[in-house]
Amino acid sequence: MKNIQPKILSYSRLTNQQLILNGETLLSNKELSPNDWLSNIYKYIKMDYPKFFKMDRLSKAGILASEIAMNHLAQNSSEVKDNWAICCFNHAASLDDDLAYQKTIEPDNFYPSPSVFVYTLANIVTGEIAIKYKIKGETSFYVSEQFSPTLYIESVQNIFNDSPDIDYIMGGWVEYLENHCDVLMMIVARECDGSSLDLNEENLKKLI
Amino acid sequence: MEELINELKKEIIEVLNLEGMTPEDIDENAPLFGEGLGLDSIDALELIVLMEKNYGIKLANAAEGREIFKSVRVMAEYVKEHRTK
Repeated sequence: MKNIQPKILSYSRLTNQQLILNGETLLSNKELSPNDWLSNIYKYIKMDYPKFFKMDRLSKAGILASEIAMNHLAQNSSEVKDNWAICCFNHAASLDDDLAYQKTIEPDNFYPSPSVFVYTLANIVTGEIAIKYKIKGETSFYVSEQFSPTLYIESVQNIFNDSPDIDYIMGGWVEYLENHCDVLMMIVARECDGSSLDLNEENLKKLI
Repeated sequence: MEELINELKKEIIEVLNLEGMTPEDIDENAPLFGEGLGLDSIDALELIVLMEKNYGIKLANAAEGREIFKSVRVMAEYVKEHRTK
């Protein structure tokens, strides 16, 4: 296995309380409900993607965090990205949607919601990100107890080693469960010059 | 009929999460799919659920839905004729 040192080109951090880009707080929240907070961020970053409002909250959080990290790099989001991959982790998988869907199939109120059902898989968020940014490389989604820098670095290394055509990986930790939002979205490069952060355990522990 | 049309518009906005849209923004004679509101296949399924849940109307097949969901006005006419609640 080739030993490479990937770099973090850009990262965003999204919780119920804060929106952070590369260590700088862009927005803080004390009063807004979790739903309104996500919509507020959408407006703040002047995103124009009507499909956003039809997404589940896990995908909304993932898309917003991706958009912020992507905007920082001034990437053309409409350009096909053959050399990009996606790799995300979380703990609750799609439980937030599973619970919402369960409410639509109660025996005394049985009206299964198709629009909720389509999000009852955790990896839908990676699909939504791939569609939005035209990312054509592999997408992967793993469930783990908590964010593990060791596991994340290993996953990134594996993608870069197994897929020589991939130069960038969008991903990190994307968690949304019962109004609790916790996202760390990074854009990692196989190699890059300059002062970008090394993708190592020490740095990841600081970011999360 | 106008009252039912307005009621349907509000329900469509709510169940399809048409953020920032008001009943006045929806032309009751415009196509719901393709042009017009630009709804997709999942939206069509959600409208079928709406018809059953709110009006007790069970649609047997997709072809039937294609006719009924031509516009909000066509939907309203169908609801008026077939509703059981």
